[in-house]
Amino acid sequence: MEELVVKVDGKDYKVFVEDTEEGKIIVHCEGDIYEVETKKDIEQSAIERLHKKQSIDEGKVEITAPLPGIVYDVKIKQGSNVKQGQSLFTLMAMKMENYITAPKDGKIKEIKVKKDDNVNKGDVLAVLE
Amino acid sequence: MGDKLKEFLDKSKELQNDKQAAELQHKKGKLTTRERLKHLLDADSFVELDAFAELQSKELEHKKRAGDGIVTGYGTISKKPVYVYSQDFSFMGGSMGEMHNRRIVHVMELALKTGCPCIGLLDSGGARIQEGISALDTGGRIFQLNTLMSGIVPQISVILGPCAGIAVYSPALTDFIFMVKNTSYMFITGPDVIKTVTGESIDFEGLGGAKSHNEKSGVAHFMADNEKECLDMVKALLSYLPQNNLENPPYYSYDSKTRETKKLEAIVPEDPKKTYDIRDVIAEVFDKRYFLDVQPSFAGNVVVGFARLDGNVIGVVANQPKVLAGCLDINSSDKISRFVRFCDCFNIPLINIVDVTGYLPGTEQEHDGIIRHGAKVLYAYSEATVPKISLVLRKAFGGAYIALVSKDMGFDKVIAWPTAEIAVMGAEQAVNIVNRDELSKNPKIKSELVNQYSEKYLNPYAAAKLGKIDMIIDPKNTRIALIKCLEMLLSKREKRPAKKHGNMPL
Repeated sequence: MEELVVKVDGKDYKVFVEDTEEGKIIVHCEGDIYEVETKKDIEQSAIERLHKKQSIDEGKVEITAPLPGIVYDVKIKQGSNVKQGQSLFTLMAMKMENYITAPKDGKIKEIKVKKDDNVNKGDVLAVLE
Repeated sequence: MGDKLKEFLDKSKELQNDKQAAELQHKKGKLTTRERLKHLLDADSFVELDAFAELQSKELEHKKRAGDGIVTGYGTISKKPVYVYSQDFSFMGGSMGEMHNRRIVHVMELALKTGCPCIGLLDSGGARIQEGISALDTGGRIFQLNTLMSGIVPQISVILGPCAGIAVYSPALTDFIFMVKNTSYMFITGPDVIKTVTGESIDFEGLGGAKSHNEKSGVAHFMADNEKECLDMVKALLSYLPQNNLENPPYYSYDSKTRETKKLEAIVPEDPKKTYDIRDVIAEVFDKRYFLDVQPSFAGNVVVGFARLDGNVIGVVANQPKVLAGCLDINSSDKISRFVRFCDCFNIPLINIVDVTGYLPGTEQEHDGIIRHGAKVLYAYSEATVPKISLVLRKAFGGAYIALVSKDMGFDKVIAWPTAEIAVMGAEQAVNIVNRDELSKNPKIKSELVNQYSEKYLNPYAAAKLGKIDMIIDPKNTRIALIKCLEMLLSKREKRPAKKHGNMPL
């Protein structure tokens, strides 16, 4: 814990500052306790968001399971070139073979599931670049 | 008389002048109020009402202009009368002042009184702040009229510019919302407010553009590339609708009554695990070329829309096996129930095309309320008194069977293909539950039990023996069978006990 003197509107306050994880700090001041998010981290998260957006713009797309089921067939390999609309996986769900297709042309960067894996809705099946 | 007439003619001419507006609107790829009406209505059919209405506020004295930023009146579309209002963004941002709102209220009241559809062309920044509460209050009257008119005349909202804040709720109360890509937006709080409150940066299009509302939120029903295409779509929709709830939808026959639907066998795979596009089935069964897909980009696991069968307008509700195995989930339940209720209001018979195993499992669905959303489907179908026909192609299991097929829940005719499987659940799941004790002793007998169950229950005959299915047909006779069912049901009358209104789950 660090002891600081802070001047606000001409008055001096003695505060004790405590660092916690994830960029939050606890400030003790005149018997009250405040949890404060530091400005640096707000900016940082904004930048992270921006990066995330850009990476989508650059064309990295995660292919996710649209519904819970079992991976029945993996039709691609790492490094495969695929065309938009091409079937990449067959997902057995709701007693049917559901074809998971490529949202755009690209190259398969990573495959995260294998045959007979159980997947939940939203689970990443592959990363397309 | 000569001078007064001249004064009147001059004033009228000035009203028609939209040069200034044209400059502003065309730059943005938009049309002016009057250009829009000209494109929407039959030539020379438009009659303007309240053309000389002006804002009443003293503070805005210097700004006032005859019309108060809106054009209202009536005209015809394909020779049938409609009431319209069209907001003028070039005058004070199309803002909704007291007189502006009163002009809208006036045409709405006339539409209700005369039983004609009411179409709003919206392009407005929202309430006119300078006019204070009186602008808000007349807005409230619009909401009340939207509600009173609901189920009596079709109401259509065409969003052709911004539509923000409280103003979005008038379209939301109407039957159908049209939007144009890149020029129309709907939201409660704009990007600026969102930025201040949550720090999230998003643009107008991403927040409330045509794509967002047609694909994600389900607020809008139709999306067009430009304004003219959008207005043409409005006309196309109206060609399926009656003028009001006391009329039947327009009849127009042009396809053969005895045409065999031979392609169906090739379209629908016999293996129930294989998928196909239900739109191909719809195209083959119903009258050629005239299927109007409603909300085509939202909840794609069901397809709903208007078709014709031997010239009669039909509301089609069909599972789409290609998307999410055609399952029922929250969004598709909302899509179905709203559509079914519209059809029931306006005497449009319903035909279901069923191929589904049931509701989508998952905590997300359960916690987001699939129980109350799914209940809407049951409520909407049970409440509907129009002819209701159900056609089972392959699977109709459990809850989905009750919702979309059950005769006891009120479907008038149930038709099945020989490939139909009507049961409480799939064979494997059923065996796991029913034969749990035997399986724990001897797991090897499972495949035999599954086969037994499939043979016994996964066919249309078990249900037909109980009278749960009226007909089993050869797929190539699908169209003919549906036409015969419909002919027999068109004069259907069903009385319901009198009540104020039910309490639909929402």
